[in-house]
Amino acid sequence: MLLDRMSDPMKTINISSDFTRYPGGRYRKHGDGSGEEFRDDFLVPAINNEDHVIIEMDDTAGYPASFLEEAFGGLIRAGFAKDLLRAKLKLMAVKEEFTIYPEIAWSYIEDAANSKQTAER
Amino acid sequence: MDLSPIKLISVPAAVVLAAELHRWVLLSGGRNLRARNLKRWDPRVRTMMETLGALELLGIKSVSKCEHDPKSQVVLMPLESGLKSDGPAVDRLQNWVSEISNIFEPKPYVFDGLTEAILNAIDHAYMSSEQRTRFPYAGHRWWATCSVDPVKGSFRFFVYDQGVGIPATIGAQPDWNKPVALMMSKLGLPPSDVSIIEGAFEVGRTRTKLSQRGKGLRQMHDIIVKADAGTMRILSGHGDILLNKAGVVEKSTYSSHVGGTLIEWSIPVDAFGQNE
Repeated sequence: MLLDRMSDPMKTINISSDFTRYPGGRYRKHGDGSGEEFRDDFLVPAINNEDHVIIEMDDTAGYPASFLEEAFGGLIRAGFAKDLLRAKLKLMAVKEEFTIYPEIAWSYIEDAANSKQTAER
Repeated sequence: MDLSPIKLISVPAAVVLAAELHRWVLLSGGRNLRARNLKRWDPRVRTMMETLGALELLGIKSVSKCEHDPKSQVVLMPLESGLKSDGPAVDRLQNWVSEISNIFEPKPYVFDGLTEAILNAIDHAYMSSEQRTRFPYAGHRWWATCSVDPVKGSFRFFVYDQGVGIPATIGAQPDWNKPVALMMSKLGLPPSDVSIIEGAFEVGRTRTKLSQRGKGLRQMHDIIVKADAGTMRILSGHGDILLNKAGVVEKSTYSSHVGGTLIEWSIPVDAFGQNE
């Protein structure tokens, strides 16, 4: 098992059980469960240390747009390239009412990448 | 405070009044107002203010039961309030409606829309500290509650703030000013508070590339879009608009400022079918 892990380091983060059932606002100043907190304390370390990161999105109370954009779109602003995120990051939801959220999160990553590209021209 | 002249108070009016009483208590260092002529208050007004928690703010612990048929009464949840995003509070609102209605189950898209309304209050509603206000704020505070009307077969969520109103905050944000002005021009809307509110929500509802605030406004509207039923009312500044899932259906302008922004979602109970 140790050799398996060394050959394909992977981390799974279940937002509801590992972080919060109540995703909140954009920044830490907005209260508990912010997108900033999830990005900086969970996503960034995992992406930096693992080859693959699986984010399980089921069973929270929901995902306010502010949370999703700062957590995921904010990865681009934190310096991660879109192609790297595409290679490493997998966003998953199994239950019907949550299946839209991975798609929304990826759209925020795309938008942030496009905005960054536009700003750099 | 004497509410005996009031024979009928709507739920949204009671929410605004209860929030104002709360602000008074917070700013006065906990001093209670005194209720005058309490026995002459209409029982429905008294019950509504008590349920919201407003009578407790007046130092009144309990009142006699309302004489009216409880089956005809709008059932109201005590007012929630805070200065930050509060997921458990939003969860309590949905769970309360679920328990009372026995049909509705908490939905992620309802959580999203209510949370974004609260974040809008925290982040955008209040003037910066450098700007003077006529009446001091009790912080960048939001209030929220919900009600179930057994006669109409509907339930409502309310989120309220005592900020400057959406029209004023839109005007102060350069990345909103332009798209809203363009939308108003496209729709042929005259310059007014109600037009700015309508323009802002049309931008949020129809555009594909949105600023963060636009994404939040869209999620607020999505509560009725995804329920495929109901209406959303935004009473802000001097403007009042009513939207269904397709867009604005009614609008009004008032001579008085509402004293903030009140957002109300009204959804028929049977929109959610039976519990699984």
